[in-house]
Amino acid sequence: MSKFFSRNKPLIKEFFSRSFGIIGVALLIFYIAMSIAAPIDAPNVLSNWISIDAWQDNPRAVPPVWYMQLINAPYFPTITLESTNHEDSNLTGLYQSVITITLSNTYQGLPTGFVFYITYEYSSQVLTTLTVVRPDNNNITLNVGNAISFPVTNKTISYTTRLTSDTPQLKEDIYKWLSSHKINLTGFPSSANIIIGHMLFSKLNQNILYRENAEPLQGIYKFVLYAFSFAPVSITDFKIIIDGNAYGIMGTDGNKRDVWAGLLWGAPIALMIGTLTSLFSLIIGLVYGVYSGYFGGRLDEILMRIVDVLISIPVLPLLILFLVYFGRASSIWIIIFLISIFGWMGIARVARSSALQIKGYPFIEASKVAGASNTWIIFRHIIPQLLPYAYASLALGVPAAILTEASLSFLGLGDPNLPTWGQILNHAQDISAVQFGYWWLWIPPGLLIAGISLAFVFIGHALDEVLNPRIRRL
Amino acid sequence: MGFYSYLAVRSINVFLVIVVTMALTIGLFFNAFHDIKVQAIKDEVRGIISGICRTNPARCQNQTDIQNYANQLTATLMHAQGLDKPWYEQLWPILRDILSFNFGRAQSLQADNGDNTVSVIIAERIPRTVLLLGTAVLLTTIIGLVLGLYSANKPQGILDKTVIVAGLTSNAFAAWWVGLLLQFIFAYQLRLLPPIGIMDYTIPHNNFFDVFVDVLRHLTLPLTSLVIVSVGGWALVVRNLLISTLAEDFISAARSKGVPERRILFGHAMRSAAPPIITIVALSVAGIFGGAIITETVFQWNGLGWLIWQAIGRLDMPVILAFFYISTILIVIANFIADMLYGIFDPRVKTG
Repeated sequence: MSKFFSRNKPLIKEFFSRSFGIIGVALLIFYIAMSIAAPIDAPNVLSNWISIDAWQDNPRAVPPVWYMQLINAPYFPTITLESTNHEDSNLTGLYQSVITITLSNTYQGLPTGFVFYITYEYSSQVLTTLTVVRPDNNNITLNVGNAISFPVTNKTISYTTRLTSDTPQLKEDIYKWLSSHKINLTGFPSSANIIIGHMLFSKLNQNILYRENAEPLQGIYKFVLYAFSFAPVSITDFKIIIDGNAYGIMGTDGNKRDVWAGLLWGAPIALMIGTLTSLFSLIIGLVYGVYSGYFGGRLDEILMRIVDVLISIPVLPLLILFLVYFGRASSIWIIIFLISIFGWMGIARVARSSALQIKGYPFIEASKVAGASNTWIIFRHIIPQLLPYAYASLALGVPAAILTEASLSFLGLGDPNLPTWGQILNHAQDISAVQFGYWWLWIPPGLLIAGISLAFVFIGHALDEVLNPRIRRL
Repeated sequence: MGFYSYLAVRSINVFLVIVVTMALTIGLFFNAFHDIKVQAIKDEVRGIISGICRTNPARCQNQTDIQNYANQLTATLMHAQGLDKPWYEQLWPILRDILSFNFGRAQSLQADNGDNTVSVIIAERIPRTVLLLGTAVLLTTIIGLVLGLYSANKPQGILDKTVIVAGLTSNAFAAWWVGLLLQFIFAYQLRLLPPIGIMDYTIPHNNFFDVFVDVLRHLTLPLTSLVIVSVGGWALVVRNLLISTLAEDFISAARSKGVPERRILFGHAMRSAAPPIITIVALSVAGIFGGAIITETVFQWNGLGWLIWQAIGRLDMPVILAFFYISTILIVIANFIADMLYGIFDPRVKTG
C-alpha cells in the first residue's frame, strides 16, 4: 500500500490539486461515514424494514423535529419514558405495587397518540389502574385492568402488555371523563367515535374534541400505575411512548418507519450496488473488447455485431421486462446481475479499439517471440495498459448503476426488503408525498442519490484528467 | 457506393437488429408468449361456451359434458394454432406475429374506447410519448448546441465554467426526481401549472388554440424536467467537440479573412463538428427515453411510460412485451435517422 502511494505520489498530488477531485473525495467520505454510522445508529433496521410490528409505536408520516422548530410551528416530539422503580407493599394480605412516571410538558403542540408497555409479575388475579394526574387537577383514571387479559396462573409469571390510544377500554374511560366534566358530546354517540391521542395533554374545554382545535396544557403530569393482588405482585416495568407530531431527525413515513434510519442504510446499499455493478460490467466489457480486438478477423466481426445489437436495445424497458417476468420483488443480487449484464457494451467498444492499437506495438511482438501465450499477453500486457481508462470508467459507471436501481425501485421493481433510496421514493410516490407536502420523504433521498452520483462523477472526471493527459487540452 | 445503397445497407441492418432482438427475447421469454396465446384461446372458448348456454340452456345441464366439450374445443384450437408443437417450431409464428404488431389482447388494460387489443392501446399512447420525447430531444439539442458553441468560443469564460459544472452535475440527477421537485414547486406550492395529466377535461375547449394552450400548460413541467437533466451534459459534449475544431487552421484562416464571428461558429465550426454531434443526439434519445418513462408516471402523462407503469402494477405481460418491442423500434429508428444524417453531413462514411 505504501509502495503504491510512493510510486504514484505525483499523480495523487495532481488528483488532489483539482477542485473536482477534492469535492468528489469529500462527498465519498461523507457517504462512507454514513455507511459506518448505519449499523451503529440503527442496528436492527435492515432486517426489520418491511416488518409492520417493528415500527408500530411510531407516529405516522410526521415531519422531523428540527423542521417544526425551524418553521416555529407548535410541536410535540415523540418521546419515550420508562421506569422500573416500583414500590411494592403488603397491607395485611393485600399486595400492592406502584410505579410513577413524571413528565414536565413544556411543548406548544399536541401529541397524536400514546402507547403503554406494562410488565407485571404476578401469581394470582390482578387489579390494576392508571391515574393520570394533570396540572389542572382534572385527573383521569384509566381502567387498564379491564383492557388486559391476564393469563391465568398459579405460579409467579411475568407478563407484558401493550395498550395504545386506540384501545377501546381507554377510549371508553376518556369518554366517561369528558362527559363527567360537562363536555358536550353531541355528535359522538359512543366512545368509538372519539380520537383520544391528544386529550391527555389538552385543556379540558369544548375544543378538546378535535385535535386541530384543542389547546395544549403545559405543566407537570404524573402517570401513577397501581396493581393490587392477594398474592405477591409487582410492576417490573412501565414504559410510555408519546407519539408526537414530529419525530427524530427525518420524521416517519406512511408505514411509521424512521426515515433517518432508512436513509442511513441507503448509503452502504447504494455503494454496494454501484461499485459491484460497475466492477462487473467493467470486467465483462474489458475482457470481451480486448479479446475481440486482439484476435481480430471473423471473431472480431461477430463479437462486434453482437455488441451492435445489444447496444441498440433500450436498457430500462429490457430490465423492466426481465424483472416483471422473474417476479416483481426481486432480490438486490438479481438487480445487480441484470444491470451489469446490460451495461458493458460501451466499455467493450473502447477496449476493443485500444486493444487494436496496442497489439501493433513492438513489445507485444517481442513477447510473442519470447513464447508468451495469448492469454498471458491479454492479461499481462494489454489490460494493464487500459487500466487508466478502466479506473475512470469504473467511477463513472457507479452513478449510472445507482440511478438505474433507483429508477427500477421507483417503478416498484426493486428489492422491497431493503431500505434503498429508490424504495423510499417509491413509498413516497405511493402515498402522494409531493401532493401532501411530506417533503422529508422525497427530498432527502433524491438529494442523497444526486450527491453519491456527483461524488463518483467528480472523482471519475478528475481521474480521467490526471490519467489521460490527452483530454486535458480540451 | 452512393447514398441510396448506403441507405439500403443501413435499412437492412435496422431490420436485422429488430429481428435478432425479438428472436432472442422470444427465446428468453417463451413461456410468457406461449401463456398469452393459451390464455387468448381459453378466453375465446369461455365466450363460445357462454354463448351456447345463453341460446340453448338445455345443453348446459350436464356440467361434465360441457366441460369435456370446452376442453376438446381448447385442444382443437391450440392444435390449429400450433401451440401443441415443440417450442422451436412455435418460435417463427410468434416472431411473425410480433413483427406484424399483433400482440394479442391485454389482460386488464384498455384503450380509451374500451378496446383491449394491445396494438390499439399502444398506438393510442405513442403520439403522446413522441410529443413529450420529441420536444425534449429537440429543445435539448438546440439549447445544448448554442450553449456548447458559445462556451467553446471562450474557453475558461464564465459561461464555459458554468457549462462544465452543469454538464458534470446534471447527469447525477434523475429526470423524474427533478420532475417531482418542479411538480412540488410550480404545481402544488405556487399553483401556476397543472400537476398531472395531458389535458384538463373539466374546462371547455372551444377551438384548436384552447387545446394547444391546455396541452402546452400540461407539457411544461415534464418537458422542463427532461431538458434540465440532459441539456448540461449535452452542452459539455458539444463544447468538447467544438473546442478542438475551433483550434484548427481553417478557422484561423476564416478569421483572418474577415468572416463574421457568427458565421465562423455556425457555418464553419458547426458544419465540421456535425457528424459526431448527430451520433450523440441519437444515443441520447435512448437516455432521455429511459428518463421519460418514469417522468411520465410522475406527471401521469398518458403515454407509453405511464402505460408501462400501469402494466407493471397489473402484471399485464402482453402489454409489457409489446412496450419492449415498440421502445426497441423507437430507439433503433432514432439511430437509423442519425446514421442517415451522418451520411449526409460526412460523405466519407458512405462506403460503410
